[in-house]
Amino acid sequence: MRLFVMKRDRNGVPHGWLLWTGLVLCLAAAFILNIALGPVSIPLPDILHAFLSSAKTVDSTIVLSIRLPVALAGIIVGAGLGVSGAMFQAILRNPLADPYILGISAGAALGAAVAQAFLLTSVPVSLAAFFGAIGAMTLVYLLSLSSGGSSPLYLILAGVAISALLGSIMSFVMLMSSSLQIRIYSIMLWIMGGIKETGWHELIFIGIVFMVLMALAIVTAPYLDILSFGDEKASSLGVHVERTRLLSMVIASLLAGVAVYLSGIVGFVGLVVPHITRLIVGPSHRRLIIVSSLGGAIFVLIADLIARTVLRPVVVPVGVITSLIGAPFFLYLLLRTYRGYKF
Amino acid sequence: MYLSARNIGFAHNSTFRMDGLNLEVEQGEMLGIIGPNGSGKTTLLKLLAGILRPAAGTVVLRDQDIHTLTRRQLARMRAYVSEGIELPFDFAVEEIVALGRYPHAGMFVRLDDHDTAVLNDALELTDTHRLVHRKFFTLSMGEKQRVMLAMAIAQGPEILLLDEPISHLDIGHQLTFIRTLRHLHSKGTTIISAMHELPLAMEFFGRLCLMDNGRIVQCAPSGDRELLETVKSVFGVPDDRFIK
Repeated sequence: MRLFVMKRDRNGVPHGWLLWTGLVLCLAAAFILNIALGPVSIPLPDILHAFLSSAKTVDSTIVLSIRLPVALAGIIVGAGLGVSGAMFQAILRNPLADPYILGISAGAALGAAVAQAFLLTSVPVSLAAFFGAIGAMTLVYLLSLSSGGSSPLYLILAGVAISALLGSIMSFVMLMSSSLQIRIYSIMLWIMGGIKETGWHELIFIGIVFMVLMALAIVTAPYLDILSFGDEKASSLGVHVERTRLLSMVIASLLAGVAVYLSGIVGFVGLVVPHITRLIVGPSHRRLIIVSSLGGAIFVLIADLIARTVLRPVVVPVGVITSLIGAPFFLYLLLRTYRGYKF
Repeated sequence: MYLSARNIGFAHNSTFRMDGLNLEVEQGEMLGIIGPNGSGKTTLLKLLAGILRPAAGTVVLRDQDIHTLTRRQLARMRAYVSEGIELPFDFAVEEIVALGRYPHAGMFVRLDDHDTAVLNDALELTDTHRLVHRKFFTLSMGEKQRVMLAMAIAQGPEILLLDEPISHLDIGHQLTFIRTLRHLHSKGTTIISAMHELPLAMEFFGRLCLMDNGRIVQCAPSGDRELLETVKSVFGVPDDRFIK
């Protein structure tokens, strides 16, 4: 008797094709709306015209050199944070983990603050933030190693400690540059997160890096399934736990770093998106990562759209919007889903 | 000898140490490891499974130090079921059991007909085939233990190591679980299990090893009278009503 018909891809997912078509359509709609709306609204035919015709109009310039790069960056930020969050939740075996939990946000903020306060124009803020983020992450990993192996618990503890430490150093840096109030404001604005306008060359380079990281994340996703069972079970199944965890952490950190580079610290995407995705498609990580990337991209594109339009002409930092939408929705889901569960 | 621990030394910290421990296990035997809490049963199982590395001595499987095998090779020969498992995510039973094929199929290979057959066997043997689409969080303790056993069987192991597999089950489920182990035993699987349920261990296991304080005090066939007396003194329970 064949009880086990291997259809892992379909397991527990109602209407697989409906989900995929729905997600792709949503992403397309969010993408087009993101390009169309802003201080100047551009109707759909004009957007198409900008893409297809070589004639330079005002609209086509806005579309090609401002709106399109921002929308593409939004996709990278959203997908990167969604996937990074899903990965960190598995690596740390904790559904409440997010890409920033191991010091990435604190490191990025410190990097940005230092660049703004001391280095001025010699180092771009986003680059300083990226290196701050990766540096903090490396520090957390090495610290967790020295205290007896990179177990999820030690990683989280080291992450909390380093985040607090870097946070206080950042406050120090900001106080020391207090003669220049405007810089503090610009640091705060940067930290709150917003998708920066990026040049095409830079964006293409980042896009390639992003796609390589995504491919690696998808290929190695099944290891996250095994890591979810804990170090002991994973190792008894024949997985090199330490090596696998490090590999996944490098991928997840770089994805978060790329997002930080493009947009500062956009909160809640990396927590909410994988969580909601898991409720819909289940915890199997290959599917979870792919769907989280689409979900994250949709979420950030819509949040960015709201951020640019709601208080026109003032642009609200997109991180404020993602948290504003994300937090209540997340609470609602938690209450609905886990009612009756005991932890 | 099939599986043997030779002169094992191991220490957790200052509170627990194991020194010069020796154990010989024969192929196809059903060995119970008994002893008070903290006597080193779990540590011994993990050392035998190659999950822990001994500070001194070797664990030898078929004349080969198990730490010279690759992790994947080892995972095809032995499976380890820990005492209870907490999952952070609500996997379906089907997904969990299928991961047991990882040592054979790897991550990038699709499961073939042989894998599917092994998985179906594992499900039937543990009576979990009706649970395949259930989510792990919705299972009862007995069902969870059976699922973890199915995952271990899916590895296709010659040796099955279990850490107090029935401690959280009621007597009915305990018996069902042990019958499954007996069935595996009758098909040639070597079974080594830590047990707290002395009457059940004495009834169903061929041989028992009594541990205390990181040492193996005595190994004997489970009906042995002398072992019974040692058990009473080690557990500090002289009363016949509590120990059969």
